[in-house]
Amino acid sequence: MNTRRALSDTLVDVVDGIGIAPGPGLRATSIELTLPVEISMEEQAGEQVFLADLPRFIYRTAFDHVPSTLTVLWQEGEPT
Amino acid sequence: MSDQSATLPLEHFIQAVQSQLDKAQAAMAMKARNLNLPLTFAIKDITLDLRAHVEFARNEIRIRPAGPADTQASMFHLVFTAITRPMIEENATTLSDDPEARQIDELKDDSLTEENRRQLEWIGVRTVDKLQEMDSKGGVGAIGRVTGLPVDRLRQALARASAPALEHVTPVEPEISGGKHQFLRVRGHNLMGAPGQGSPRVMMGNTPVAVIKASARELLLAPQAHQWAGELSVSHGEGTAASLAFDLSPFAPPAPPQETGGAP
Repeated sequence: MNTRRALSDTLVDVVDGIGIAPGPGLRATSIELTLPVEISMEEQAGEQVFLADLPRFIYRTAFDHVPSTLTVLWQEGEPT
Repeated sequence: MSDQSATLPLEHFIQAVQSQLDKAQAAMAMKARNLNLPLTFAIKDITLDLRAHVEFARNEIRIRPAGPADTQASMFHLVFTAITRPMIEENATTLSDDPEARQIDELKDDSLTEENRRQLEWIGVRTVDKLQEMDSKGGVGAIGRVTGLPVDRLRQALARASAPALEHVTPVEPEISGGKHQFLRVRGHNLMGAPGQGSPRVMMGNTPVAVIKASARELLLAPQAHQWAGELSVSHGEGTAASLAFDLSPFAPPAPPQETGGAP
């Protein structure tokens, strides 16, 4: 069974976890992160879903995927 | 599906990634709206360095994410950037084909294999009309050189694609409400012959049908009372005729009364 999250869930969870609520006198206008991710494809409801999740273990075994790299740049904007 | 069992075309893979980025963007926008936040974060650029196997089969790039034991996987570098709607529309114009145009896939005959059709699509020839347009400009030789397709095979496919094809026959609604149906509309392709061949020859069985108006996609016919059902055939010159059986006799106007000898 594949327990990795879809890329969209990972991205939303990561940006949520950074805690970028605006504070007095300080505001983040962009965030750039480079993360190791384990990727795979899975068919869900007849369509291919791209799964990309953070590695599950610090110490890797021969059974673990060698991580790929995801670099994402978020920029501040008005909600659409 | 197991995550390692199958490869998938690169374009499907890219669509799967795009779909995930759209979902993430939509989720963040929804959260900002629900929490009444004046600003949110939107994904601007995303770069993926994927460990994957890349294969080239049947003129198609296929990709498979590397598994744990794949030590020899390639590094696949993909960069996505956010673009505006006008940019999407500007770049999508080449795909906005006429919805009624015949796709190159419809040339399912012995002259072109599936791989041949894929080769044509690869160079941007997605419709039969486009292939014919290139032929009229003398571009068949160039297509042959670029794709490696034999020119004879292309000409054979073009000859078949240029033959008339009939789709359907419908009665033309009378101009006056409650009036009689008088005309039939025939939809198809290549209904007009090549320049100089004149108007198409339209027959119902062995009798000709009057043609009011003709274009490549449509014919307007004025059939006689007995010509509202049967087998219609359209041909031009010495070429192949296309035929279609139909029955629209319920729409036929009543036959004129037969003359009964002379007046007393």
